[in-house]
Amino acid sequence: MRNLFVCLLALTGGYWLCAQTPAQSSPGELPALSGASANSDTTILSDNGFEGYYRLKTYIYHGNVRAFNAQMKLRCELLTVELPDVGEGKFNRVTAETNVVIDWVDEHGTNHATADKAVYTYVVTNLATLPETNYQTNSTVVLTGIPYAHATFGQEILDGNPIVWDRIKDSIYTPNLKQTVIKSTTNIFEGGIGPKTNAAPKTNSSTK
Amino acid sequence: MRIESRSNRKPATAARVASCAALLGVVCGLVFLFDPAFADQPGVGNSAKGFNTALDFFPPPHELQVRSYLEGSESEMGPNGTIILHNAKLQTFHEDGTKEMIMSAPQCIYDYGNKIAHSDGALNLQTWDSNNKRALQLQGSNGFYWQQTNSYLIVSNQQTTHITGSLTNTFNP
Repeated sequence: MRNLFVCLLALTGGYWLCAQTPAQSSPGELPALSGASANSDTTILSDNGFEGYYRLKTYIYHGNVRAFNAQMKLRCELLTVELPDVGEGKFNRVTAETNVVIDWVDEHGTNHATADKAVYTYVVTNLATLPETNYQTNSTVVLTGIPYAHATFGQEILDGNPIVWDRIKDSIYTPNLKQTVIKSTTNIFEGGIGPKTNAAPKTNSSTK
Repeated sequence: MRIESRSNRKPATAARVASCAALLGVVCGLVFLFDPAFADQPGVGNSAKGFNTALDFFPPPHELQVRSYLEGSESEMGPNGTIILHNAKLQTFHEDGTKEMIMSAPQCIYDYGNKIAHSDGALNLQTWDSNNKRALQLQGSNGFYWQQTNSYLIVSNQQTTHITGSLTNTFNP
């Protein structure tokens, strides 16, 4: 009985260790994507079912969709995942629609974005003429339909349509900028440490 | 003499053919009466232990390679050419013989004519994509519908998908 208990404990411990071992990222994977995907498992929940077109490698989630992993949380009403083998003229695309809310973590901190629609596209394009090859990778998230993005980097709030998040360059921009609000969570000027205006600091009269 | 003997043989051959046809008719009738596959409604005692069959194969040149395989611990005939499977397991394969998907359900109905599997119960599905080092596990509890001809799956209501590995496909030019 005691031996059986020890065996069970060893098996459970072994399984837990295996489960905790992060998956290895593939050599061809982009550095910007590796942190968000390969090192953690992703879970997708939906309340109104799932459709899978396995030959087309297309998967659709309906109703109160929640997708999350260690780096990202996403909520929407409809999530369409298209994952054909990437190659000439083929790309991966994930489309989140209706009441899209995305929270993600990067090296700068936590970011937050909302939109009516968010489209993530991963495409590899040959810029040269065959047989020569010069592949360029694009990995972008485009937010449309009253989008709003709150990036932690510089406490910047972007308001424009569309908002583009370039995952290769790790930058967020909008071609039709309405406004940018720069906020600071800890206002160092509130305590009277520094000037409250942009006026030039007073000079010391004793130096005259 | 030879001509006469031939003319005498003809009625004997006809009689033999007629008796064989009658015997075949009796055998077919018995099969039709007692084989549950021909029954419209499930009858008592039509269940069987163990069920496994290859559902379809790949087109040439991989015509010997099974594309989908269905098995169950127990089976019984359902209405309209359907078969009710307990502890059903459906496997699909790639052309090279590697596993593509395993779908298991405590109970499911398979329709031979329309090549459809469905259930109003639980479903557990696992798929592998070795090229992109990705595994997917899906669990549903409120029913599913699987169409064999175009590998189309619907899972009803609440479901949970767990993806291990890369979310996007890698590109190796």
